[in-house]
Amino acid sequence: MPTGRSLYLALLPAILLLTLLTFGLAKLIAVSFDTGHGIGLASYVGFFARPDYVRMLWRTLLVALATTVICVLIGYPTAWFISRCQAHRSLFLLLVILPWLVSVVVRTYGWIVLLGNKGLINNLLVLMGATQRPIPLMFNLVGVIIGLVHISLPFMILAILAAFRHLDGALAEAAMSLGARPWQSFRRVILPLTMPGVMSGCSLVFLSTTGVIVTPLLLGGLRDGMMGTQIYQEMFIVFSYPKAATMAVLLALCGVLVIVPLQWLERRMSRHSRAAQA
Amino acid sequence: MRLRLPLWQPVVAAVFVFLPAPIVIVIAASFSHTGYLDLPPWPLSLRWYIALLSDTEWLGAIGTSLALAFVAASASVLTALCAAQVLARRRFTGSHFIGLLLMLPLVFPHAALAVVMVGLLMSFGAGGTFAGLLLVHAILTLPYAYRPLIGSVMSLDTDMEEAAMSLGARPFYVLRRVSLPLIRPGLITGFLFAFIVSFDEVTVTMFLTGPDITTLPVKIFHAIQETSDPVVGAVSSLIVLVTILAVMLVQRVVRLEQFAGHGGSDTAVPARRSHA
Amino acid sequence: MGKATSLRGAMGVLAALAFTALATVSAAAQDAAKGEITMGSWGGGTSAAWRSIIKPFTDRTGIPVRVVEWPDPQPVIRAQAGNPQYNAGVMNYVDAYRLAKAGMLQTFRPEQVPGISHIPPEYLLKDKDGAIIGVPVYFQYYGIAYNVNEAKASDFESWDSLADPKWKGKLGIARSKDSATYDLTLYAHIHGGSDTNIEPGIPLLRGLAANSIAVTAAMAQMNTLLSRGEVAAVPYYSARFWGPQALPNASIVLPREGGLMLPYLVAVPKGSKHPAASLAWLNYVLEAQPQLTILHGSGYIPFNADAKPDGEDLGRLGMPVADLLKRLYEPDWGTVADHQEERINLVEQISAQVK
Repeated sequence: MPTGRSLYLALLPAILLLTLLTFGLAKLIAVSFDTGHGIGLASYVGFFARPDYVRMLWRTLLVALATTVICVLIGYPTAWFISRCQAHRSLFLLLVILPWLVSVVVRTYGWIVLLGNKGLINNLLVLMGATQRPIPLMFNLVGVIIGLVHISLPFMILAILAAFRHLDGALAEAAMSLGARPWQSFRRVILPLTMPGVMSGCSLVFLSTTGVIVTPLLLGGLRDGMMGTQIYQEMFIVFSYPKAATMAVLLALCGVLVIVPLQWLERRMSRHSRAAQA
Repeated sequence: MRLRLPLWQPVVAAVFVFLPAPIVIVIAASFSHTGYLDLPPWPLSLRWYIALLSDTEWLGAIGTSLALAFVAASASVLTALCAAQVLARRRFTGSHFIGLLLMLPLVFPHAALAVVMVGLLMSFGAGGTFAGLLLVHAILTLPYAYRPLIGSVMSLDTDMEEAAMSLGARPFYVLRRVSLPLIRPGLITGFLFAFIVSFDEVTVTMFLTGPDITTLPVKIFHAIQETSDPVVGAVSSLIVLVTILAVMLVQRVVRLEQFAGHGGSDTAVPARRSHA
Repeated sequence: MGKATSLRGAMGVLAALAFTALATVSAAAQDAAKGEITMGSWGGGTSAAWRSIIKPFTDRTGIPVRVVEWPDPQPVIRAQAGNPQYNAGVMNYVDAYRLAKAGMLQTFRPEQVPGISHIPPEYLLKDKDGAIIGVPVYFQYYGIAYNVNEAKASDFESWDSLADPKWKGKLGIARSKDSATYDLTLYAHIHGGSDTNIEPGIPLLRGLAANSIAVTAAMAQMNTLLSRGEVAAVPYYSARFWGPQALPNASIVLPREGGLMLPYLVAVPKGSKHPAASLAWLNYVLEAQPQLTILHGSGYIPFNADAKPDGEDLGRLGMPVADLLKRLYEPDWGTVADHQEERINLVEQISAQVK
């Protein structure tokens, strides 16, 4: 191996790429503060002066939150199941990983087929007589959230699964044999020990969900705009780069504001869980 | 411990129906005669696959996407490998920061990242060029290449390298004969991951394509929006196939469970030895 | 070892595929350097129309033409300002006017495009200095499209029907850019407003927004929704209802107030390559024959006064072009363009307010 100072030369390609990325970020921030004749908050004031934009920002955060919560609720038992599964474990893992890696457009296309008023699900429901009028599953937030949960769920499952892998199975058994009932052993032992995984999954799901475009664009309706679709509109329909830049900065900022406390919690918990396992 | 709560089993079962559902549907619809979104797809037909094979625009997009993913993943893996070699061995002012930045594309909202990249490429007039897309994809795939690599490099026993060096082996020889074989799983996982991510990326890429170059997912996106070209189903199934192939390749090198470690965002701290 | 070998083999196949692809891509890029027209167009029917007239031009001039679908002309040309990758593009008058105002389109003197003499002068789009911005080629109109199973033509004798609460949750609406440019202009005109004063059009637009379930964010999606009856009616484009390509189960009606005329022109981004080839292309698309070919295949109505639709095409139009024009309102596109941005903001707020 190269030794000494020459080793640092290996960092050059990474530094080159990262410098470009940082340059783009700096330019984005600069543009968002450019009022046309100096530096100012004009574009941010303009954003918050529009009630529909503010509502859109809230909607984006709420949709991200709802997606994250649903992912935890259904992802946790799934991850647990996979971690305890003896036979066919790799098959189940494959069922999680494959959809995760298939392009978002392809998956959204599939949801369009399934969710439309005359889509497969509604056709089946009507055929079975479960409903007379199709249930609106698309062009509303229901469709958007279904699509987003589908995109994010594998992230969540894999993150929680990582925590389960660190979890010493014997610990839970021990708690049980010491007389703890299943629910107690879950609440007192398993849940706290896997919490770091849940937290890390939550940060990732929340962040990636705030920045989606394709899903709300194709599955959402007139009043379901999110920050991503508005950025798309600013860039693709009116080409207002400054406005898009302002929204991008706000989006990133919201992400940071939500994630920093989560990360802090996660680190605290993983310290605790390590102490508990030691 | 067994799962006691009765509610959980249906939830887990539903998840395993939910996850493959849209993909299975896309594949089924691609064999339908109308090619549209109607199901059931009878009578079955291969006409859209045949139509795809004679459409130079779609073939061009497939070619671009494969080439872009290959070159971008190579660039990204090389960059990440070099960076990991340094960051796993040295701590210095800013090493933590570089580690953080390397993971940034994973956690930065993609809609915002798209605006960043448009601004970046516009500064060089590189929008709608292969070079521009390559640069952006190399950056976007860095976290996916870096994570498995930093894991491999850290678990690499530096004693072995030092032993070889002290026996008089030259650095390059040590790298080729001692280090590389040991980090090979990380290298291949990183490469294939980066390849898939680049091959599938649409949110950022759709802002950067041009008349001379477009990628497959972007073309599918526009087709869904503007033309409802029935070839979309066939093309989408092709994407699924490429993804399955790549995952199978990964599976040959590492156990799938290794993936579980890659989902989390507990990533910003590369200078910490993993417990596994 | 077998595992490693097959792995290496698979990686090799992947690499080979990628490099073949790379070679093809770069070869294609070299072709482009010889001098060809890359023309931007909306997808679907529009790009099909333009592809249908390429061959005679290439046979005559030897210049290859490639029609590439773009999402929308304004953002693409603005994003490529100074380094345009298109040699031409079809766009509506508002896009063209705004781009020209921003200095991003090539302007022309009449002697550079002699074919312009066949176009009625009132349809020429000019900048403030009187220079020609692109060449007018064809128009269509904006009417009310409806699904024949969900509604009847008589349901839409007036544009005001779109605000009728009985259509709650059943209509479609154009994306904010188009409702700001088309709907608002037309509705204001119907209700006694003008191109500068669109206030009177707002209540109708608000009523339509309140009834709407889906946005025409993308044509293909709205086509499907309309054909399947998931949307009962939507303000839409007449060319979607032409000949064999017409949307199934759907039709278009002109309410008694008439419709909006939607003219299109072909413009050249400033600083684009092969200016001579572009000029030859502009003169070609002004001719009567290509315009008739486009009409026949796609339903866009020619501007060239010599391009007289006959037989089948006249039957499909349902009336002579002159009579049709009498029922269409053509605003001052420059005024509409000057207010486009603020009106998009207005429409966005209207859509967000309705419950």
